[in-house]
Amino acid sequence: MRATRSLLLAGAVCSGLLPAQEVKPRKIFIDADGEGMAGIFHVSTQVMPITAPRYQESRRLVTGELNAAIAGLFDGGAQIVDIADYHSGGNTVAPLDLDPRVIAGNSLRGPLMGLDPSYSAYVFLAFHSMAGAERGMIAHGYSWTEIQNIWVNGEWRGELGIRTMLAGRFGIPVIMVSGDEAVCKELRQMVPSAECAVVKWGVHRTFGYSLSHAAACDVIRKTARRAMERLPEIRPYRLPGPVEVRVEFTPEGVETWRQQHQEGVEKLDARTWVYRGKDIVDAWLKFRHAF
Amino acid sequence: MAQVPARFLSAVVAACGLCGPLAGQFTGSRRVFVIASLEGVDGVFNRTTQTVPLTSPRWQESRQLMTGNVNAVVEGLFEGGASDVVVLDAYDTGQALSALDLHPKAILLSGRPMTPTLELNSSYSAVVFAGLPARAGAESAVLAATYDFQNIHGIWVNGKPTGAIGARAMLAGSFNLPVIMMFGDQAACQELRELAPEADCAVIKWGVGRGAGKSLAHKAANELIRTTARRAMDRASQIKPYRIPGPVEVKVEFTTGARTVLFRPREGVEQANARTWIFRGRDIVEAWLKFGDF
Repeated sequence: MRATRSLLLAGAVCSGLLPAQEVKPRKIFIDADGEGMAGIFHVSTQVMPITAPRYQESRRLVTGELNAAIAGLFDGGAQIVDIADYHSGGNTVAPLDLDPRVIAGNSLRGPLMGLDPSYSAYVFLAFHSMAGAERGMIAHGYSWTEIQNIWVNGEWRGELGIRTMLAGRFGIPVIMVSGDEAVCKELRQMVPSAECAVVKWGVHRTFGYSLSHAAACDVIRKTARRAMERLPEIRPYRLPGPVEVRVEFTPEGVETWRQQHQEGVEKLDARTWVYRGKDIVDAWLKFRHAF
Repeated sequence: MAQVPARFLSAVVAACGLCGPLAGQFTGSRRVFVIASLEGVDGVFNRTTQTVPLTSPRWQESRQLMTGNVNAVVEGLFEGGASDVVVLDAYDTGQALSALDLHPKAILLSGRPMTPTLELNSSYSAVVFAGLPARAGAESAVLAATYDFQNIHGIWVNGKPTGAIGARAMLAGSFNLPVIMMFGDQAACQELRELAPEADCAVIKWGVGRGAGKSLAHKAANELIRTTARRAMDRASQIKPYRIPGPVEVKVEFTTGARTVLFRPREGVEQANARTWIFRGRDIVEAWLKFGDF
């Protein structure tokens, strides 16, 4: 079965039906966050880095889910798996418990997250939906309190959307997300064929249903394997340039936001700024120092 | 209301369409809703040292005891034929139950604020009370309280003294759901039996006073809870929902110095005296929601 599929794939590559990325090593980038795990409901007691009283429990939850995803990716044929520990500066993933097959990095990997065209696929783990998402558990974008909305070329986007565009800029498809139902919907809207491991269902932003950790890991491992096996079918998200990023700040954000004057940056109204560039990287880095 | 279970069910089915051991678990017709709290858990007596979330010196021990009791009830319900078990962490701000050590097959409902009717709905077939306390003022009741330890002296529904057990049994009844069992101290069990004489009860604690009493050992408590839950599932069809006829009057007497008396007189809301408010409605849900959440 597998041999047949490989043959078909090889044929497709040779005949030009599939892009050249198929011949890259199967090297996977996991973007690990800290809100989308099963069992995470509370911001102040579970999510706030280091200081949350239940933070050690949160680290065990994310590391367990991460190990499940890693195992599933290797089950599905991954050759190299890299982890970016992205929740608030990289104090979240527990190195003591991490699967020894991966290379883990914290978030200090430069403006483009250390992503480069050598990766074959991008995975969002324990991710959250964008600020304002319907029934999105701990939904937000980049800041808890300062950003109300972000639009890219007129489309309402959050962290997941922006990073999906960055991956797409390098020709890398997003093959999977784990998190709540809302974040799954958010990815599927951009990448309809991506896999979702739904481990949580929000009633509202900080109240909802969750699988147990054991059940969540089971779902994540199976989903990661399937995502890996389906990698050749999943297209990168391509955003044609030029790109306009529009950011609406909250009243608190307006107070704290200081913007250097530069080419392509414009204040639209009292609380909205626009950042223009030839592509998503160019435009986004005028707004923030990193993705 | 009817939309909520449908959305949840279809989401779980979609997510778990291919997920092996979980498949089929969410589509069954014997869904049980467990409301969990800490006061009735074995070995828990002292409010200061054991029950303040995250800061009590013995908090980690308390949450482990509660998890053990809750997992025993979940196990017993599945043994008795439950198709799904949803556990609401209703204690304080919802910090006691963790996805890490919860029964693998349970669904955890947590976070705050809870919705006023606790997401209970008619897609369930039974309700279980796990560790709810007896109402404030009950005799020989460990950690007795009516919702709020500091601010509420007592609540009466159509003249009858009512705590969380009574109010939530009525909420279940409004969806035509029976409360099939509970575990907790003897006073709490007696309170449920007055409303639902056929309900099963695992008595794991006996109060002497509000902060003192006797308790089964943790393992013995878990064993009793598990076997009681299994039997309750077997007998579920014989247990009647607790329904009260309307109209309904909810009278709430706040304590001296309560900080929560923030109501304004309006249709169905009336101040009876300096510390007492009355909330009226055509049924228990309408009347109670004028006062607060279940």
